[in-house]
Amino acid sequence: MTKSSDLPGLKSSLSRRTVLRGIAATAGVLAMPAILPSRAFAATPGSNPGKYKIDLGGYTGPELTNAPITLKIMRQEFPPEVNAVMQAQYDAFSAAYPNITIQEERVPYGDLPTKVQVYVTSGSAPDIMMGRNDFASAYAAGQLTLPLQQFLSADFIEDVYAPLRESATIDGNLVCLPWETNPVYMAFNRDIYDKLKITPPPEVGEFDGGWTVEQYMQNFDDVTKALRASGDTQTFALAASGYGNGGPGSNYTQLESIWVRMMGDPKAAKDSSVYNTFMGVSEDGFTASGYVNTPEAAAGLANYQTVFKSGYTPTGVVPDQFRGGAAAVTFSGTGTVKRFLKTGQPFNFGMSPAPKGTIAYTTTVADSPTIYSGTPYPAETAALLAFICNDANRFAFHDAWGSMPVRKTLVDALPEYASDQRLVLGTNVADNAFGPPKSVGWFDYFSAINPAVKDIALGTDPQTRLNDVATQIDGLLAKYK
Amino acid sequence: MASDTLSIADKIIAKPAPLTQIRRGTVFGAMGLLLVAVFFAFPIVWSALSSLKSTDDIVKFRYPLTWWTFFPPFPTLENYYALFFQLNFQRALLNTVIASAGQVIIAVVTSTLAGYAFARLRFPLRNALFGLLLVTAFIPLEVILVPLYEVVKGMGLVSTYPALFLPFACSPFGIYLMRQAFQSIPVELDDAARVDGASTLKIFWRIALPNVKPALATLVLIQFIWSWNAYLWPLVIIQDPSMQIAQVAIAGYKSVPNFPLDGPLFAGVTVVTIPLVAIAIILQRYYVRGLMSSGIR
Repeated sequence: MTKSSDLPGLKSSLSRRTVLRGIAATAGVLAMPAILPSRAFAATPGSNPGKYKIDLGGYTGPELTNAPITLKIMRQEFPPEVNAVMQAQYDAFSAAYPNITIQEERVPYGDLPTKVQVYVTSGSAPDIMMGRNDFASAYAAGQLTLPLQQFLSADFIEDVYAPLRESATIDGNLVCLPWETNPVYMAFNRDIYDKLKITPPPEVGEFDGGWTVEQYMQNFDDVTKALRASGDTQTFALAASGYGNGGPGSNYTQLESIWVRMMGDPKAAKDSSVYNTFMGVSEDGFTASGYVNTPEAAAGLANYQTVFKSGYTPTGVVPDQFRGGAAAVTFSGTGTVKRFLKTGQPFNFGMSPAPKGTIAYTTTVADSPTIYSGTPYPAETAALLAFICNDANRFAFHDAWGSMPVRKTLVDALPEYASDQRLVLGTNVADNAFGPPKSVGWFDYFSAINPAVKDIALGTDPQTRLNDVATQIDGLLAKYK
Repeated sequence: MASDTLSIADKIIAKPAPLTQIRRGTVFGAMGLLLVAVFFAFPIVWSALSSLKSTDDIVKFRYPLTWWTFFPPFPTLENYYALFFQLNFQRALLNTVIASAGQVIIAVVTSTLAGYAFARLRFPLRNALFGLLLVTAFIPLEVILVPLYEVVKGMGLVSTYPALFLPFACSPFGIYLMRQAFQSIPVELDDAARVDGASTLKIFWRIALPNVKPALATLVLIQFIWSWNAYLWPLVIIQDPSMQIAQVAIAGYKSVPNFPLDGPLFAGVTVVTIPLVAIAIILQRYYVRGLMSSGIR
């Protein structure tokens, strides 16, 4: 059996403790989505029956050991229906490899970073740990995870939506495997628009076919005025954020960065302000000044501030405001579509692309399992992970849980993603979204900028506050140099 | 004499005024306390009422605020059914009960013995040791989390019941509380017993302990609340889902954003709150007396 010490790792001067301290500082929780029906499927890079005792999907490593071993998995808690699907997969694996015992640990989603920190610091962690693609740089720098491309076929990896694959890849190493995704775009309540006789956002399939940020702002203004004129003081044009901690400054990675980075342009000259705005951080990942506090970034957050100042959205946390029918529009994704389709929609709804700035920009973030670099059984662990991610098991999981697959062949096998505009748009967004800025100190960046964004939402001057937080982030990132 | 009579009469006439003032003060005081009680009870009552709503109704009536935000429009017990028949919450609850019972028993044993020793026995470095013990009360769990995890793991106790309470067998607060309580007992009682031939252990058991019942009740209550509400340590040390405690299980219901379990979540919160409220009501008399007698106010 292959030992982890025999495998090429990731070179870094950073200690695990440094990286883990950063992880501990992050308390943000991402909202992950939705609901899918299972389908028959053709052979794909995620299906490889016959090569091993069981269909190990994209696994290409050596045959597994015959010695009795135990593999440990740590993941977030799911509802009983999804837990049952996962358990069935473990049972199937253990039936094929009776010498391999699987022990599963389930953790409340927001506590995953704490558990990872304790385990890795103590030098003994589960073989598979659920991570996130936006922390990939930290995993690589701290050498916390094994590069996965040595165990998985190139076709299998290529099958993952490019934005997610690239965000999980550091220096050519796939340090975590995106597991499910929730590309961010807009959901709107058609009943509210019909009632107010206002045109809703365009229902198109193209990720860049939607309104500009100015058009959205005008629409928010129209809706707000119409609502207030009708005596409705409780419904809002834009729902309070349901991501992370909710409300203003809820989750920069998944939501508020949209307002900023849409004002940038990755195709602009590399020394230009507009390019830096898109990047969010310097190429080496250690400097935020000149990137997060550009005039374009300040203009983006001035737009964001307007939605609060003008009363388009509440200034506090309102859980489930859109689902409760008390908002015309919300930032959302395939999760909302799948949930409404599965459980019955409380109102007529539609989906439209996110607001456009200089570019059509939106984010994509995914839960992403990692293989602990200290695992004594790297090949067996990779095989188990690949098995869980084979086509059949992914279909079963997405059917029960409702999230969107991260591999294109899986999505292509699900007809609703080709026929329902609300999901077609989701696939196009998934294909064209962007991962978060890459920095080993993304934890610190994320933790520092959320309060700044909240301050700006509640009235602080955007440029001044961005300058302050850029300096603060520079200081926080310096420890990783 | 006349003036004396007048004086008494004056006093008699004057009496109702202060009584009225007292009554008025009592009424205002009671109203003030009632307001405070309502303020503190509100979240508990709200979560109990929300547990009687379906998850859909919780989402639907959460905003804007109406009466149905607080009261169930269509009361149902489906959340409790889901909690106990689908989510197997009773197992987590049992784990919490066992962990709390273990914590209370071990803390009572160690705190009374150590408290008595620090209060009554003379031995070298007694005060220094006591001071050192108190210092440990100021070290937060987060600081020692990793080393503590390594120690418990090294003992092979991960995912076991003893792992939940054994690391907290020594309670600095408990020892301090019991030391103060034992110190309030007259030394003469010990001396008299000693003259009658009683051993130290017998004096502790037959004389000292019966005299510190209020402090003991306080200790039980505090340890129970502390253990019942523990989160971080069980989260870290319990890796087997079937051994997890109720509070961590409830947090798991919260972390499924696109598959909301708000109904069972409120039901779980209500279920775990009941024992706390019950034991607080039962022991409240002793709790106050115990804190008073130990000098902790």
